[in-house]
Amino acid sequence: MSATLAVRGLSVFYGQMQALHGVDIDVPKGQITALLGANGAGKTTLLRTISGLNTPRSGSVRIDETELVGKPAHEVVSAGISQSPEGRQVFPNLTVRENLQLGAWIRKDKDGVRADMDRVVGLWPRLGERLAQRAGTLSGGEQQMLAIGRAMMSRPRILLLDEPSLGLAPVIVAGIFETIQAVNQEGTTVLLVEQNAHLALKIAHWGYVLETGAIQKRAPAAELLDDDAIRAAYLGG
Amino acid sequence: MTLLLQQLLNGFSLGAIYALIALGYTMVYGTLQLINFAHGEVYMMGAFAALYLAKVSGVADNPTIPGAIVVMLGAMAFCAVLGMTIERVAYRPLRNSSRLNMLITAIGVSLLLQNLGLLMFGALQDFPSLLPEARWTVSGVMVRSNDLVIFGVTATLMVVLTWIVERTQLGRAMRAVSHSRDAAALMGIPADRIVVATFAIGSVLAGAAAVLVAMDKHTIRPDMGMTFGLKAFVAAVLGGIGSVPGAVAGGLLLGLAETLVSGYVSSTFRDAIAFLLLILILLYKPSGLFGKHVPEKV
Ligand SMILES: Nc1ncnc2c1ncn2[C@@H]1O[C@H](COP(=O)(O)OP(=O)(O)OP(=O)(O)O)[C@@H](O)[C@H]1O
Ligand SMILES: [Mg+2]
Repeated sequence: MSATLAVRGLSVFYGQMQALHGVDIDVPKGQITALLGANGAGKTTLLRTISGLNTPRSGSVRIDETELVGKPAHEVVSAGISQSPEGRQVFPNLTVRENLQLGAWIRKDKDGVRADMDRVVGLWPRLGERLAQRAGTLSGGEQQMLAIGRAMMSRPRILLLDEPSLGLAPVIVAGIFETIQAVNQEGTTVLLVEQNAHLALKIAHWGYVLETGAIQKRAPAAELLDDDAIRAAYLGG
Repeated sequence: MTLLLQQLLNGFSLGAIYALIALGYTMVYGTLQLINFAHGEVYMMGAFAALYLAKVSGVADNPTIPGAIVVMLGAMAFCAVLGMTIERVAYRPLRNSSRLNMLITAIGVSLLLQNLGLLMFGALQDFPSLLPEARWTVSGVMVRSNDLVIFGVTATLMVVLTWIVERTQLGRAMRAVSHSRDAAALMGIPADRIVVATFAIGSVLAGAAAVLVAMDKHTIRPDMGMTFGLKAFVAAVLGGIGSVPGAVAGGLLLGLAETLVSGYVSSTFRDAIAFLLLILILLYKPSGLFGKHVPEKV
């Protein structure tokens, strides 16, 4: 149920503009790794490249020993990586249940899928009450729950989360982060991209700081929480 | 009253066929935002494939229900293969180029197939009866067995299609891909395979429509995809291109409008009504009856 992700020397361009400059990241098995950075630092670009939606000019992305660079995005899911993308990207015209069913696209074990749907609904009863409702009619928080739940439906070994707190009320965010921690404790490795550095570091084991496409710092999460420079830049002093 | 009932019957019969073809335009548009102008030619080729099958299998000389079913399934399978081939050969290499390039390619494929048809089949050919035909008069309204066949086949295909789109993983994936390829890819859905499936399903429906029309009219011609296909495309736009229920509604609306106009006004206006409706809908509700958003200009 778990794996190690290793990103090495990843460089990504948009036309002439270089968005990532030889990024190295390790996401250790069974842990939560937080990736912090300001707007435009390249966090989403990194996650999209790991998932195969962007093609790097150079570098490698490995899950355990398997190289992912060069694989089309849909095969990366089969390799064990699932993503809840920035802006949630739920399918608005499909019902909540249908969104979750599509999350399980790569799976053939019907009983297992049903059990996992029960698990997601157990984590977020609000989704359970709205299974037949179109996802586009959900609140922002509910859509975020659905996006994460949908990503869990493929039984990923590594879960990538792109700013799950974006635009949500603090109480909703707290609930979502608790669930992320619970999912991790059940054995899923997590790479969590956040601007809400405080919350992210509190549940994470490791933290990285990305600035204009390059890693500036890597340290245990607790250490970053106490780091004065980090406090000033990302934790509001 | 009798005239009205007669026109309604004829209108639904014609509209059902428009709907079957319109579905192919609308489904491909939904997943690829491409107006597949070659769709009408897939329909035309389906009719000639059916003719060939009917002759080779002997159904042409000995019309029976099982024989007709074999010919229809054969034409549907042929169209599926043709539609998937067109997608693979003509459209997929252009997947990342502009929509204008795709559109021009679609028109090119359409002209190519039409001329190929002309070359291979000549101008016009007779189409045999695949079934014993009958007609009855029910309180003044003439009901033809062919109308019943058209209703039966269309209704069956609509039920199957609705089931696929609404109840299967493939159908959900088709709807997901039409919303966002990237988000679908993050589910592990291979968008290219879903697009192929969309072409196959649309083409299968066109194949069925081709056999229904051929059985009904008893002549088929290489330009039938141009004339009839264009009307079906108008029907898809009327309903809201990209919308499955819209294609059905647009088809029926157009069929009814055409027969009512030719019954009560003049048959000279029969073909004009399609384009009149098109202009009206583009003026007052450009997204179509069931459309949710205004399609971008290509
Ligand atoms: N599709 C694109 N085309 C061109 N440039 C892009 C594209 N996507 C992102 N960029 C640029 O790449 C850089 C990194 O963007 P990215 O979205 O990865 O940042 P981010 O860290 O996720 O920011 P945010 O916190 O605002 O989500 C930015 O300068 C952005 O403008
Ligand atoms: Mg981002």
